[in-house]
Amino acid sequence: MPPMFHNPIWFATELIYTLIVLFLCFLIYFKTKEIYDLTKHKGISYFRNTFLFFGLAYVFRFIFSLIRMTDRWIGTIYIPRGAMMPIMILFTAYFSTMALLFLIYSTIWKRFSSRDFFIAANILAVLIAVAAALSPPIFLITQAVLLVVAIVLSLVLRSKKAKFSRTALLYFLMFAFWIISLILVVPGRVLGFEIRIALEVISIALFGIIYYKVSKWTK
Amino acid sequence: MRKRDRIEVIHDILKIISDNHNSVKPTPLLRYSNLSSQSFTEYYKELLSKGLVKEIKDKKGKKFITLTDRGFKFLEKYKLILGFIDEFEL
Repeated sequence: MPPMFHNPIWFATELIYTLIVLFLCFLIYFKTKEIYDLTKHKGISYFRNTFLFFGLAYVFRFIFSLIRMTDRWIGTIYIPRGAMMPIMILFTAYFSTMALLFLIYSTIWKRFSSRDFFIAANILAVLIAVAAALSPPIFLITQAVLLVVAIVLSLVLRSKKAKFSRTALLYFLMFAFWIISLILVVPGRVLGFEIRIALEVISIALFGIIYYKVSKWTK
Repeated sequence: MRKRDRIEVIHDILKIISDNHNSVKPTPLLRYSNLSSQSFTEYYKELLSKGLVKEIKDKKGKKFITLTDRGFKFLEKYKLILGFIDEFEL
């Protein structure tokens, strides 16, 4: 029987990477449950949602990569890759956009509070997701645009403090590495195996640092 | 004087109750909290809905406000909560 995946090592590294990031995202989400329940603080709610959506985005990114590296036939079972990949892109783009919007909003909600944020975010995320499913490059472009928006907003809001906070830097790196991870999903096309592993380790380290910061305040 | 954050006001109200042997009448609580009557009513309703305080009546039927277990937990965790909000700029 032929191997199920084109590259079993690639599959193993993707699986481990996804599981670790997913684990850290859900740890952050559940670790902050108590302080949210006590305060019902909106900022904490947006922060938690960011990691919930990020976790889900990583899951669908993994399923997408799984379909990519699977043969069209597994034994006698036909895998309709052409139909499944746009659906996975749709879900990945939706959850990823929601995560990025919640992350941006968690830091600006006090200045630009809107009751309609959740509805507006959902509409935007659905539009981006549909566009990304129809034309995958749109996915990367919109995520990059959101990253630029986040940087500009942060610089504008911080102009008086004249200081770029470590947390903001951490958020931007997390954003940036998410976009890189989307490029990495194409096996062996863009970067070598060692560079890919190094980037994934850095990405895990960023989530690890955020988890460490969270656990410091949620003893 | 700096305007207090919502979470600071909640903390201050709970602290007043705690410092008064966990039992205070609504009118003194309004006075100590340095809020307008309208703001106090809003906060008070919020505290009740969040389960941070509860109302009790003595034998004469007079109403007192006390902290719930969640209210005590909030006071215990307040510094950590503030630290978290500050750390992540929420």
